[in-house]
Amino acid sequence: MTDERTRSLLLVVLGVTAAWLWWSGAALNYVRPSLQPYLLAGGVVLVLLGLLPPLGLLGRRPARHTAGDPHQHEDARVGWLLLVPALVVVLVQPAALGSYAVSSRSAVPGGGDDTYPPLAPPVRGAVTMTMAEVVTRALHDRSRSLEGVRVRVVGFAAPGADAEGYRLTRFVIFCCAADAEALQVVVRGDPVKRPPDQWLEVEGRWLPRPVAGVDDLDPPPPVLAVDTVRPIAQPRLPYEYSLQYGG
Amino acid sequence: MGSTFSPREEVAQQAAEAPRRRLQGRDLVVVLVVAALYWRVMMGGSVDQVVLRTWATVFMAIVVQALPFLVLGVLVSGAVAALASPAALARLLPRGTLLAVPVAALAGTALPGCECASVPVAGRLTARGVPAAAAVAFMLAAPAVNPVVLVATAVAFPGQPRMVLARFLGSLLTSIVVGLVWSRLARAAWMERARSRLGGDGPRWQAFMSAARHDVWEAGGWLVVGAAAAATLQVVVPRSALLAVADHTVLATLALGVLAVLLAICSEADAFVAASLREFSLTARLVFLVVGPAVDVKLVAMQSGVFGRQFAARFAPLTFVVAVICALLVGRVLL
Repeated sequence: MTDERTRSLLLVVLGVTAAWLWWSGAALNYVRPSLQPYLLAGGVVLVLLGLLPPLGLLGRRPARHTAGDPHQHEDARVGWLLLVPALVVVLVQPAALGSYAVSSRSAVPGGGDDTYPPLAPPVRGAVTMTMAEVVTRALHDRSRSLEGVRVRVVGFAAPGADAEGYRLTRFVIFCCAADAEALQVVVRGDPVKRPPDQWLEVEGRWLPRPVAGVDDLDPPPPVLAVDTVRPIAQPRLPYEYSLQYGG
Repeated sequence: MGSTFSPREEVAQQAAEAPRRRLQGRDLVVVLVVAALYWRVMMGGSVDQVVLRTWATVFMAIVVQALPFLVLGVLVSGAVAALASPAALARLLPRGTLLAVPVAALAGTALPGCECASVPVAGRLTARGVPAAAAVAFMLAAPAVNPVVLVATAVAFPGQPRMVLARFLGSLLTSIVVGLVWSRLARAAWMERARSRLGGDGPRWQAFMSAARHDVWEAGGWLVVGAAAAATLQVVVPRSALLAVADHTVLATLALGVLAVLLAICSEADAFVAASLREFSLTARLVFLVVGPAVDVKLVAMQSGVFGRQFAARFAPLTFVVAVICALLVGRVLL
């Protein structure tokens, strides 16, 4: 049976892991930024739950379990798994989802009500857009607001279909990385072969194509003819957080 | 206090302490550490490391996302153990099962959390003498019909308020029906583990602490099991295999129900995933939304920890079937 002090230690380990994920920003690989404060709060509570009884701040220790209960051994064991998150963080460098996860998660944003806010003003020769905005405008905007516009967009390289080069990819998450969905554009005109998962900032123009029909639930991704490709480090926020842009 | 010592040192300290313990805990930890080291050393640089990293990200995402809700849940559950006497709880609920179950389900809407919070609270309510049927109705309703989830659903399905209403009714109906069926079928032995829980004795602070510590230990450990299972299924089972059946009405409904079980997505995010499954009919997606918060691999793991295996083995299939039927009924009327 696991004694109270071991339990305390495991609770503290888990709490410290949570606090470290918050402090280092590594939690951003896993959840959306708005969940971060709650992660810290949860970690602090866990540390307190672990520390207060052994420090004796609450009088004598809680009574031991009743002996002879056949379930108690199982109870005692499973809590050891609280160590696993800490082990995973130590052994596997925290990382955002990458190109391996794309195939089972590709998504197409919906058309919405067909009203689009005006484009942002260009900065240094291109309009900076989220991947969600590029893909939604390209696939669904009947007024073709993207046509002729030089756009700048950030994502990582993921393998494309045959002879296609690569696809610039960005995951959208809503709550955590378990619900991630991939948005992609096909990149044309980059002479360099980019390794998978290399983060890139590209500038270029959309190759116009008729909007996707209402029935076309799986239209091919839009194509960008790029003239500038700049390798960058992974952004601090590796994901986008809404399929509906601008709102 | 978090920055004064790193998790690495903590783990080393942990590993040093482990050999002094008796066997049950230690062997698990040793297996885990050896497996982790094996991956690190043997698989370095190979393709499989990408799989491992993807698994680790999904696993940690589920744990990190669930952790604050789990902590909230065990704090509430500690408070129930310390403050709510069985007599007071009995006075709060109507006497007859037919009334107590819907009241408990509606009470669930007041706990704006994820599934992970409601399992330990429901276990603690059972330990304090709340009838099993009412406790499970509360457990099913709390994550599915609270305001946060409904607002998220409205945002994910713009211009389709019927989807929000359908989700609310489908989930509420599911929790009430499961509660009532459970009150007929269930035997006390299936929930023995929840009834015989610790805590609730002695001074209030102590009762609170020991209940909260016990619950985080148990529900947290099983959360890790569930998150690992969900992450494995997400990495191993390609979603495209399930999406292939979208055109077939019956298969599509079942496929989305199964997908909800396998993905174990937080109830506050599943509406966005459902919205993107555009190949499927609205009714099939409603099944996804009603099944998800009620039964998924993570929840089954936590329930088997809190209530026992006998409970989970019966409760999960019952809930799945009832949730699918309720969603189909509500979908037929509303969508």
